[in-house]
Amino acid sequence: MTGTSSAPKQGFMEKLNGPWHERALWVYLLIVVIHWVEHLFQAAQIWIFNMPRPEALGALGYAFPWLVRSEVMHFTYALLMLIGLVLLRPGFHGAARTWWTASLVIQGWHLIEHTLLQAQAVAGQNLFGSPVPTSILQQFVARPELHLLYNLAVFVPMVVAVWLHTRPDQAEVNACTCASAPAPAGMKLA
Amino acid sequence: MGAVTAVMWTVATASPVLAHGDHDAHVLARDIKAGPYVVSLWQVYPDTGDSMEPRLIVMVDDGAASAPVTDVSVEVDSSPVAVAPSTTTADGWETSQGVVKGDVIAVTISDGSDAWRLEPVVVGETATSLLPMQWLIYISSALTAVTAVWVAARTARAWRRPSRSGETTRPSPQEGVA
Repeated sequence: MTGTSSAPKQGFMEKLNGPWHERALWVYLLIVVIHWVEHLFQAAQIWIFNMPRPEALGALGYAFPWLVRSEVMHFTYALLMLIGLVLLRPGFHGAARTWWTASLVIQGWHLIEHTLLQAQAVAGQNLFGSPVPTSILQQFVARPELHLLYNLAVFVPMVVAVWLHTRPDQAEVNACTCASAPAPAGMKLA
Repeated sequence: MGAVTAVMWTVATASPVLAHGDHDAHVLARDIKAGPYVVSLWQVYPDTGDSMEPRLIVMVDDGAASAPVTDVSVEVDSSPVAVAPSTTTADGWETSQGVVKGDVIAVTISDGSDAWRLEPVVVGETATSLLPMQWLIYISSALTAVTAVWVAARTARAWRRPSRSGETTRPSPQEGVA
C-alpha cells in the first residue's frame, strides 16, 4: 500500500535526492566498487604477485596500458566521484550524512592531489624537482600505496554511510526509498 | 561559463603524451653538490606504449639559477652510458637504460669551461611500504567481495521497485522494511 499525494513540481536535486536517490546511489556505488576493485587488483599485482611496479597496471592495464597511465583518466574519475558525493549528499540524514561527508572531504583532498598532477602535466613543469608530475603526499608515500589508501579512505566511510542510510529505521526520515522494503513479488517492473 | 568550459576542455584533453607516463619515479639520490650545481638522480619508466624499460635521469635541480649545463656524462659500473638532454623533462639529462640495486653511478657535468665529477652513487634497495600491505589487501578484498555482492543485490532490488519519478511520497509503513 502506498499513499500518494500531489505536490509541487520537484527540481532536479529534489528528485535526485528523493524518488531517484535509490537507483542513483546504487549505480554510483557500483561504479565506485568496480574502480576500487581495480586498485585492489593493482595492489595485489605489486605486493602479492610481486610484479614490477611499472608493469602492475591493474586489470584494465592489460588491455589499455596507456589509459591506466594517463593522468587524464585518474583526474576525470576523481572529479566525477566528487560530483557524485556532492549531488547525492542531501539525501542522507543523521549519522549517515556525517559518514558521507567524511568520504566527501577525503575525496576533496584526493582531487586536489590529482589536480596538482594534471596541472603539472599540462604546464610541463613538475613540483619538488621531480622529472615527472608528483603530488604532495607522494613525497612521503609511493604512488600505488598512496592512491590505494586514498581510495580505501573514501570507500570505507562511503559504505558505512550507505549502510546506515539504508537501515530500516531510516525509512521514516528519508525522502527516498533507499530504506524501504523490496517491491512485493509480482509487482510490475519499472 | 565559456571560460570554465574552456579550462575544463584544456585540462581534459591535455594528454601528457610527451611526458613519462608512469608518475611513480624513484629518486636514487638527491642534493648532490657539483660546483655551483645541485643534482639529483632518478629512475623513471617511460611510457612508450609497448615497453617500459627504465631510464636513469640526471636532474639539475637549480638549473634556472645556474649557468646552463652543456654536457653530462654518466658511467654505470665504470662503463660509459649514452646520455642526452631529455626531450620531456626540463633541466634533465636522460640515458636510455636503467640501473639496478648495487650499480655504481658516476656522473660528470660541465658548463663548457669547467667540469665536476660527482661522488659516486650506489643504487640502493627500492623503497618498500611500511604498511602490512599483504594483510591490508587480503582483508580489503574479503570486505570488498561482501560489499560487491550487497551492492549488486541492492542495485537489482532498486530496479525491481516501481518507478516513482515525480512522486513525493514514501511507501507506507505497512509495506514493511528490509
